[in-house]
Amino acid sequence: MTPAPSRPDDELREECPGDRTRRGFLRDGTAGLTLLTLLAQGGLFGEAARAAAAAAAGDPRASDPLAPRPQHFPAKAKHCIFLFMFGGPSQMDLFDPKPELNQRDGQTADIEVRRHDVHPAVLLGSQRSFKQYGQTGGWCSDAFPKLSAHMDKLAVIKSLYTDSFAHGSAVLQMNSGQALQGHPAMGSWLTYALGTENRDLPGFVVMHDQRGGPISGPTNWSSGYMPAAYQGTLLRSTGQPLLYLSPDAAAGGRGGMSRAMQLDQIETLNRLNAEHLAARAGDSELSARMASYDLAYRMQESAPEALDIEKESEETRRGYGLYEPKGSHSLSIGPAPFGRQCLIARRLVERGVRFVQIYNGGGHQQQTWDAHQGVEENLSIHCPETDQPIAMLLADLERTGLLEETLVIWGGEFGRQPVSQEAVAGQDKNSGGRDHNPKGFTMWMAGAGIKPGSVGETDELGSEAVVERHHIRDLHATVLQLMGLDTHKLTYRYGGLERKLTGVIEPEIIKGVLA
Amino acid sequence: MNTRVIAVLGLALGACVWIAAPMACGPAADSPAAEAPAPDSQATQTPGDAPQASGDAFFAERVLPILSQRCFKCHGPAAAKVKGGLRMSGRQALLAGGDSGPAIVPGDADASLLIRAVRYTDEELQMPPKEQRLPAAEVGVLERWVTVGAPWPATAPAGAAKPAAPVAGTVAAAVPTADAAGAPGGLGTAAATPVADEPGGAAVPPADGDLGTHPTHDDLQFFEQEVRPILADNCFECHGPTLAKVKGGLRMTGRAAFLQGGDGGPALVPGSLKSSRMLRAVRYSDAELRMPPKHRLTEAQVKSLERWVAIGAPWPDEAGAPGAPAAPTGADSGVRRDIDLDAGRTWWSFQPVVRPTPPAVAGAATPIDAFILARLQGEGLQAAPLADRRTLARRAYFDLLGLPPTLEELQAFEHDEQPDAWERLVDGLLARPEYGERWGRHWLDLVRYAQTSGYERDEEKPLAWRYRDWVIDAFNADMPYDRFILEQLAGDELPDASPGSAIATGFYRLGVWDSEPDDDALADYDELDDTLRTISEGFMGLTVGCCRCHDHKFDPLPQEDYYSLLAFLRNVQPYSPPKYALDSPTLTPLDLDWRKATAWERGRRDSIAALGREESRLRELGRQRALQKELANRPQLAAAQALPPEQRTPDQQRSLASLLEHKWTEGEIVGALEIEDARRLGKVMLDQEVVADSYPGDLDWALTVRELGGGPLPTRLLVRGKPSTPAQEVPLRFPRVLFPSDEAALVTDVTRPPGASSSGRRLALARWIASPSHPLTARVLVNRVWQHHFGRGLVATPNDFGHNGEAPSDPQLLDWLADEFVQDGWSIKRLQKLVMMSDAYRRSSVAGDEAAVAKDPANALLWRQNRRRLEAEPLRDSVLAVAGRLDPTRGGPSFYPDLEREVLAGLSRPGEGWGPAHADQEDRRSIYAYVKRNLTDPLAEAFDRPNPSLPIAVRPVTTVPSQALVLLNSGFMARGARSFAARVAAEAGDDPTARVRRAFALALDRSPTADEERIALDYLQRATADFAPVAPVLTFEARLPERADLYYLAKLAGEDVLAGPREGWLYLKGRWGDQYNNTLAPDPLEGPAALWTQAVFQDGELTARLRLRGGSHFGSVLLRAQPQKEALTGLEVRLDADPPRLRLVEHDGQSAKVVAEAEAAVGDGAWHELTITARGPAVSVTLDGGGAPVLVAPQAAVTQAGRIGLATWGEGLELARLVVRSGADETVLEAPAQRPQDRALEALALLVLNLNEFVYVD
Repeated sequence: MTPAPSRPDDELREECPGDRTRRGFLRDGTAGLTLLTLLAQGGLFGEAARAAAAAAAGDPRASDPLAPRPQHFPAKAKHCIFLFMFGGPSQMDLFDPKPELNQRDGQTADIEVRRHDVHPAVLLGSQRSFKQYGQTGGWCSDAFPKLSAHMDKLAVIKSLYTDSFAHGSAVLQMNSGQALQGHPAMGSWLTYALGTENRDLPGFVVMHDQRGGPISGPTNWSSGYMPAAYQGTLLRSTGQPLLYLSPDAAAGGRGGMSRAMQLDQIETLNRLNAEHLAARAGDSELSARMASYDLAYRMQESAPEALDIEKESEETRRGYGLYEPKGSHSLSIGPAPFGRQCLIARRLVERGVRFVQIYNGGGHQQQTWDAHQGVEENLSIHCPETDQPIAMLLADLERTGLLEETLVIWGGEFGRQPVSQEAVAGQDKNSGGRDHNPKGFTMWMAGAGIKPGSVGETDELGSEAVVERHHIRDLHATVLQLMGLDTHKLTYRYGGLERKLTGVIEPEIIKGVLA
Repeated sequence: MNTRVIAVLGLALGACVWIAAPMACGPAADSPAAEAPAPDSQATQTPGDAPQASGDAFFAERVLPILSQRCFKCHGPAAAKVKGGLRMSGRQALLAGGDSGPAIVPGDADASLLIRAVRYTDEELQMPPKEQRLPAAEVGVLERWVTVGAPWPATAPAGAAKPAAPVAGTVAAAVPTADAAGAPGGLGTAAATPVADEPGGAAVPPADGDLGTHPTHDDLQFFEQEVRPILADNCFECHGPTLAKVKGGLRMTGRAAFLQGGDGGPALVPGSLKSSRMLRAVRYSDAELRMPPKHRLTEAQVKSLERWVAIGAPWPDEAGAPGAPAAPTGADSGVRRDIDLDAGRTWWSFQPVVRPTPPAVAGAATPIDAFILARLQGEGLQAAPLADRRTLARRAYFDLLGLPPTLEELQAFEHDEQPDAWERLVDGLLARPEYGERWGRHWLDLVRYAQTSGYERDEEKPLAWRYRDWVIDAFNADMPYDRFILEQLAGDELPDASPGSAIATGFYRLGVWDSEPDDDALADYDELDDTLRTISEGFMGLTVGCCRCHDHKFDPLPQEDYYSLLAFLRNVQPYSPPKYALDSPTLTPLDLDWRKATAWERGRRDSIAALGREESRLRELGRQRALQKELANRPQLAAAQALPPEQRTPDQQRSLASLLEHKWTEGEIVGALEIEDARRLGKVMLDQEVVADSYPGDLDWALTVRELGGGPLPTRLLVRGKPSTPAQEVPLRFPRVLFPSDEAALVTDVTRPPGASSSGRRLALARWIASPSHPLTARVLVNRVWQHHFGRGLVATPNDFGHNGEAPSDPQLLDWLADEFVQDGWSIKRLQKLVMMSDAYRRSSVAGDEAAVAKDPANALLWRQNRRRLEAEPLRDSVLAVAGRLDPTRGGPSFYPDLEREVLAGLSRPGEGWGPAHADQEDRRSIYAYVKRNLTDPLAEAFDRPNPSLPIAVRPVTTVPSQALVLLNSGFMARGARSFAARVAAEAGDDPTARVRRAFALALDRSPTADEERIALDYLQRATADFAPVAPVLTFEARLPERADLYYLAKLAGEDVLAGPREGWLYLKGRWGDQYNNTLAPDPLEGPAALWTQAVFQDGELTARLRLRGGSHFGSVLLRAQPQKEALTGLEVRLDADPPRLRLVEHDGQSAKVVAEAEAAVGDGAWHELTITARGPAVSVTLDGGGAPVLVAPQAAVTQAGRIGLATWGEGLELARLVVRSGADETVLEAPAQRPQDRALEALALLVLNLNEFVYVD
């Protein structure tokens, strides 16, 4: 038997104080990886028994929910990285220049600032300066000096709209397609549809901002009415990457339990389980559970390995901004944390992780892109934190060839208003904040299967989408399309209905971004 | 981030301070404020705005009916003569008021005469007069209306042609148009309204009289030149007057057609720029209503249409003549007309239950077996043998109690030779209190039980746990299921209502609730929808929710039937933030008598008053200090003040007088106070607001349903489910397909329960659902019981008995059980006993029969029992039971499971809404754990406990590696394994064989086989060898994320912040600051610390062997330390990870400063030896025994004796050994040694708790 490449036995021998020459259950060739492989092929105890157990559990994926599954049709994108700018970035200060807004700066206009609440407010021009870049001539403001060099990689959608003026429901909707709580996240849908290629890592990974999670917290990566196996797994970019990963940290807080010792524990466990199984032959759930311990063991190695950015070159690390200082603003954390997460995201998709979501902005208000209290101040916090890391992520994905099979999405839960939230005419513009705006906002995609350029327009003030308007469900349908999935076929039965990520209203794929 | 307005206003006062002095809101331990939703400063930035808390629907459906029924008789807009000079023709009229002044002050209910009048608190002013006092709920509606700014839309959504409420015809007809059109001969103020309702709109004065119906020549010319071309070019393609079929039911034939409108209601309201649907559509301001759909009109075109509406929408020729032809409504409304109800009535689950006769089968032990064996024989299958007694007992214990039998219990059963041993076992288990805790949990899944609201703020729903206890008690008392339904749906309306049945109506309050909905009217319907789905799926297995927007796609349920069913719930008050008040929509005092209520009210006022006095005192203090400060800055003035008054010059007198009269601003007052006092001021201000809503007093409150009072609101079909597009009113009617005819489904005899403020409709609904003749109720319930005894229901989709659900695997058996259940008085316990007495239940789960496996691999015919994995709760509870630490305390408020900081960190305010884990609560059964929607226990989540946002009938069973990790490496399991091992050691002694046998006996109720024993013994031996060289270490690690919610933090003790050994250690929380948005971060230099209480140290030498874990920020040794509140005085030698260095920090109790530092490679996760020499002020530190000191501080400030301690933040610090030499004394601190065989036993104990046999029930 060939030892598994992912398990360096020699290292184990070194770190284990005890006798490491004994042959373990998992390593003696009768089970372990072999068991897993057989299971994945449905072969160990026969297809019939396996099907029976799965059917008994009510879902065909029940006994192996994360097994890789084919796309509905061939498509390039195998992975997705969603850079979630939580709080709602300001479109007219970043990608959607509005000369008329600047001209009318200080004048009043009637704007719907909350649902059905239209009232006159003071227009707030952008203080950013815009230029067109590259062959596509994509507009980008000076808030993103580094990202702007990559405009030819981006398909910018300027005409999105969503349903809610409030963060709570809007973030849920961006993540799950529904403004109501309780529905599976997009990452859950993708792992439900496609499984995960690398069983040693979770299929749907979430990294949040060190300043805090997004509002509503873990609900945003919940699998809703789907099994918990599809929910997002929080990954920390320093220390222990996954909860309960280390046997040592958890051993009653006393240390001393090495991985080798845990392996012995698992092997012994499964020897006893094998005795139990012998009297219950044919129960593939029991054997699947045995295999899950093997997976857990391997995860203990592969997860920290994925996080080990010391393996990257100095140049790469520098490129992601890991050595950049924090900004001067007290709420700023500098590009290093987000850069580290972007680099880890690249390493994760490289290792087959299906969906990685990174939040920039966590907590509230200026800790996020929620620029009520001053849009210039807000941009000064969050643009420098993300500009270099995102630019490098795109370059690095391109360098490694991963951009060919990875879809990158950038955006927040909504955009912002063209009017100043509290300023009155003539006041210092630096104090001008922008309120939420779900009626027109910008997101972009890059990577597998997209066509660089821009789609749609907002009105002359950037207030709402008017040309090629696309609801968020269209964005979701487009993501599914790019991932080789048909939104009509990707369903999950709940509450008497075949549920879809895009909901009951027929979505329209955003054709303009497809290559 | 605005919050629902009610909450904002409630906290506005406190929130002002928030802005004035960000530091003025300190932790509020043990006070109601600690539970209060945090004021969001966003919400306060525009305090003067009239908030849009409620849409037009609120006014039309709740407020207007009250006004029209109660007030219009004397103050009606159309009354010939009004009393007191007040004509209620609109908002302006109320603002202008009558003889006594303005009737309302928008936003301030207390200051509004109208509210004071209806409250009947003022003897001089009581309306309606002559004791026709409004019910409290109606007063509440008016208060809410005024509080949100008293919006008075120009028309109710149903439109002029369809009065919103069934009020007297003359009045109703006059009202909707009164404000818009200017009441005929009405008030000047009202006449200004039409254009005033939307600033920035076309400033065109309204025409006189009946707006628009007598257009002038100019008006008509305007129409022909500007408006008609726009309509023709842009609208007639779909809404043309001559089309055969128009879209949305709107045919633009003339003014009347616009007034009547289409499916969405009236297309325009003459004069109202705000309420005219057409204008909303062309403005493109509403994402769901945009016309023309493919292009947008120019701004000029929109302005023309606005002007046209503003002048009354004149249209030549027919000029709005009544009776003008209009398109039929509903023609295109999306209601499918092809549902054949008669055909639908033939569906199996809609047929009455007819008791089948069990087939005659030889060897059938019970009627259940007769049905099953008959089918097995028909298929030529052999049933599996009965399981052995051990298997049976474990199955029964887990099924009924969710706990394993103790070895003694098991043995008693195994040795019970009586023929009725099994029956007595089942009876005994059904009678145990743990039974309700097990079966109550199944019910809680169905009603999506949780204790918070979800969404952004995830506020607590106080007292939700009482509902949980009611469910447990109901199961334990074997409350008949029909009664169980009645109490939950209408416990307040029952003739024999009781405190218990009131608690049961907490059912209505369990769902998610968005405190900041995008659209209030939609949110109210979402809430009703959520409740209706839960009722229809939970009690009836009917997916009625599918026809909220359109006819059901699979079942014979027209959309109208959805709204007819909704009409039974229509009067339920929407959930609102909890408020302890006698008229609260959500909380009710259970034991109310008026004496108590009066005392309660007094207590509440006293509490507020006491806080008010404290506020005054602090303000006065602030003023005095501000004055002193000012004097200190102006010495001449201070000198003048020191003089006797008569010696002051006039200038001095003037200056002093002006200073004394100075109105200090909020900022000056707060700024002058000491920080603690400033915090306290913020808190008492906030608390006054909070106490007003959250003073429970000694009344016994419960979370309950409340109705709006008044006549039941009309219920309309909403086109595409949108409140903005109401269509025809629907009758009060049950789903027609469940009745022989449409007429039979009508409900006409609903009566208001005597003395109740509710409509009686919910009781009518409940009685129908709970009636023996209901075709679904009993079938659905017996299926659920079957599901939990066999792992799968006879109908595999327990919440869907419709066309899209699974067909019953044995319809005869299902019906027999349903009939038996009803005949036997709806007793769930007797039903369960019936099931458990069958052979079918008692069969082995081993799939040993190859022929059967081949023919029926999924065991659909039940030739064997199903093996089932334990759900999250019984799994956790079993670990506690086997470990010997299960705490049987039942009921009451929930406990908070101990969550890792990684889990807390997922929240935007980590820890918000969570409480500290108390060691004496942690071992209670899982059903008593707090259920927070946005934060779940990883163990429960990993083992498929459903997300509590939606009803879940079948929990998925998944197998993923995260389950293995949680069962191997979580703190909960480490504790469990440790206790389990200790128990084994105590009972079995030192002999490894005895230990293995005991561990198996306790966890699995059996002895190990010879093979198992050998495997386990070998393991113990290896593990003992592995642990032998492991030196014990003390570990310390942070338990909180980088930031934490300040209220959460206020509830924690030092050991909740830093984890480490408990005995002999004192923990300090450290200082927390850097407040942003209700979160705090630990001060990087004065974070939490642990002090060893066993030694005092002044001068001498300390040697510590320690290491920083990867991801740790720092680790420190403290000396000469003494606690100062949460911080300390003393010296700290700190190992920093990034950048790696060694630092000496001095603490003086207020602050800390670095006095020496040096680069040193200490952040590498390796072990280091630190030697600290301290003699008086001279301190030096050497690292890893190497020569010269790395740090030298000749002048340390702290020289007196104190404790030795440790500090760390992040992933943590491990300490192997600490030696203290002081003169000739040597004290050693090290982790208590543990014998390697005992640690090996712990590892084995953990392993046993991970066995498939432990996790699965045969």
